[in-house]
Amino acid sequence: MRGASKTILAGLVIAVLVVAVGAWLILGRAPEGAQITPTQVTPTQATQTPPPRQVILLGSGSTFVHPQLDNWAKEFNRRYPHVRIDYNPTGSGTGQTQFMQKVVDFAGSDPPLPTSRWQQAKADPRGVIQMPVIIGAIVMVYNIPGLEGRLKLDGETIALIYLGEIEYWNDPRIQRLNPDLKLPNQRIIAVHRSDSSGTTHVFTLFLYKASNGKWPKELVEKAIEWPVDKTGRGLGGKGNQGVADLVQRTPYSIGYVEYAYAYLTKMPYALVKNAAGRFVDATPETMMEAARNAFPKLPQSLEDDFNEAWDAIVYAPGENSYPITSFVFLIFYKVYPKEKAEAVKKFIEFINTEGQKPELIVPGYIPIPEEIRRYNLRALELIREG
Amino acid sequence: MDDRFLVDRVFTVIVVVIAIIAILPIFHIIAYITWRGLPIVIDNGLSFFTDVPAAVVAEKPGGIAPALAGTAFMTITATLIAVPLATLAAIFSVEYPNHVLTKAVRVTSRSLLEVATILIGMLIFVLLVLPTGRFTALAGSLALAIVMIPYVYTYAELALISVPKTYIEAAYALGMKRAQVIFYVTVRVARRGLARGIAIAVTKAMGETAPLLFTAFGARSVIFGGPFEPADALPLMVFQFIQTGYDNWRALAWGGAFTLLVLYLLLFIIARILVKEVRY
Repeated sequence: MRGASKTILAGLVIAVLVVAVGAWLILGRAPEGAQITPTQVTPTQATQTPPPRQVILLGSGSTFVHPQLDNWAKEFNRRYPHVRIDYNPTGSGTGQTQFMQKVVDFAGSDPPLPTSRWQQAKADPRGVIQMPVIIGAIVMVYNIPGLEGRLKLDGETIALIYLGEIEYWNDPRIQRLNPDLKLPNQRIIAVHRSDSSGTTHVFTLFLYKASNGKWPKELVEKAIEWPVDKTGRGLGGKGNQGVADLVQRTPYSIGYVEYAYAYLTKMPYALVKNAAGRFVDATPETMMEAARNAFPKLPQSLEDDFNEAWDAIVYAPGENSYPITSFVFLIFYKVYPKEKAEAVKKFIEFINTEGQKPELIVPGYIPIPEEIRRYNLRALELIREG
Repeated sequence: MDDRFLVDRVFTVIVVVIAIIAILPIFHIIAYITWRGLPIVIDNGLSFFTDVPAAVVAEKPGGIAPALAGTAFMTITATLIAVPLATLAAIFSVEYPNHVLTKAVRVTSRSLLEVATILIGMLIFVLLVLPTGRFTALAGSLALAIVMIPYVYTYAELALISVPKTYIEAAYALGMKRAQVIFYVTVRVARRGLARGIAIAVTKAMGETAPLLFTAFGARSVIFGGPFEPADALPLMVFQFIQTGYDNWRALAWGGAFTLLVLYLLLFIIARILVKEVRY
């Protein structure tokens, strides 16, 4: 008995060790062994063109850009097999922090670096380069059973709903915008994000800019205390998916989600009044139009502060601009170690040329207009080895 | 006389009903995850366990191989670190119950149990990831090991204390040395309790997301990049993919959750089979 269990125990420990080491050898080392240790390459092989060294680019940040960035990473890897790109959806704030801590190679972020952080990053020897790579838009999804026709809203009414001041769907202030609709005499449930999010930041910035002073500047943040919650008519959902789910499940509710989620769930969303006073639908064209109108506000250099440009695309001017549009940024260093510099340049080039073609854009995402792609490609001259 | 039997019956029924209500959520979780996850695993077959996740636009969701490999690597290495440390600490505190170190170990272990596991992740991040400038699978292993230690320790201590004193006295009476008594009698008699502690700690480690966010970080472009590269883990993948709206990734998340569930059940069954009950 004693001997038997001893053998079993010893056997178990050995088995575990063998499995662990074996798994590592088979799964990890074998396929790339030759590339990881170039010293093992024999002279005869070295005279032929040696395989480029394996490069791994690690990214972190915006949850929203994750599916699109993952698609780019996979397509890029197909063209350049020696470069692997891993991106983790940690949230824009965490992505920025990890970029500042230099534990990642690039970050994705819905808002650009805040001015204070940008100054700090620019002063660093590794430098900083930001660029808008994809357009994001927020749509107002709603769930009004029996409603026929599309709802129309403006910044002021949306602000009043989320402030808790408009209580019923048939409130004259909403009815006035929708003379053709028969709005129900039901309380409005306003759904918002419960987690800290770039989407909330863009949404509240829009409310501040478009509500004729109804929405206070203090409430422009990634996470806020929603006034509507105090009336008991507010609901929080985690992530875009959480908000979309809640709106779908809650009759007479309204919520804000990224366009991609409304596109996937096929929920109805409102036409929103833009800065030119027109009600516009969220379509690829109207979002691109907003980006085009914000283009003149982009800074001189990719090394500059992007906050003004980001501010400009939200509630952008232009007859056909969709008002709640924003950029999603990728944040790179200016100086990379040798192989990484080359890989980063290739990736930036790929994103701004082939990557913007419809076949590589994930359904629900909106490519950036031509002039911004050219603008982004200036990064190729800035990035260097060091 | 009938009254007594009636009261007894009613009481039994009430207890059984309450017990069922208490465990109902567990069955609900198991049933729901199986219902959502099993069809996905069956649909994709073996490739579900051998492929990397596909893009959201791909026709098929791909597989969870990076998460499986990462979880396997990190759980095994964390166990190899945590079990010897915690078990030896437990033996020490049972053998020297009044030693200053014992008291210190007990207090730390108890407070470690209370610490949110994300803080353990942050600790490793500050101590290891920041100075080296990279997320690694090994950092994940270390974080998981710290998560495991108080569990292994607590269960081991309980198991060792419950070994009948008469056995130990008998062993000493036979002229065994202290080390012999500990390893041939105490540990041997308590092995079932020790194994249970290890099994619980391993399942705890396998299911942890928070300590891995800032250590192993997650990487899914290859199955396993090695101990010095970032690595994926099952709960991490489930956590990140279930929040997206894309069917491919949600499928991977459900299938991954189901796989994790099966791993849990397997682990407990194996622990039960390997370590037989000790009969006094």
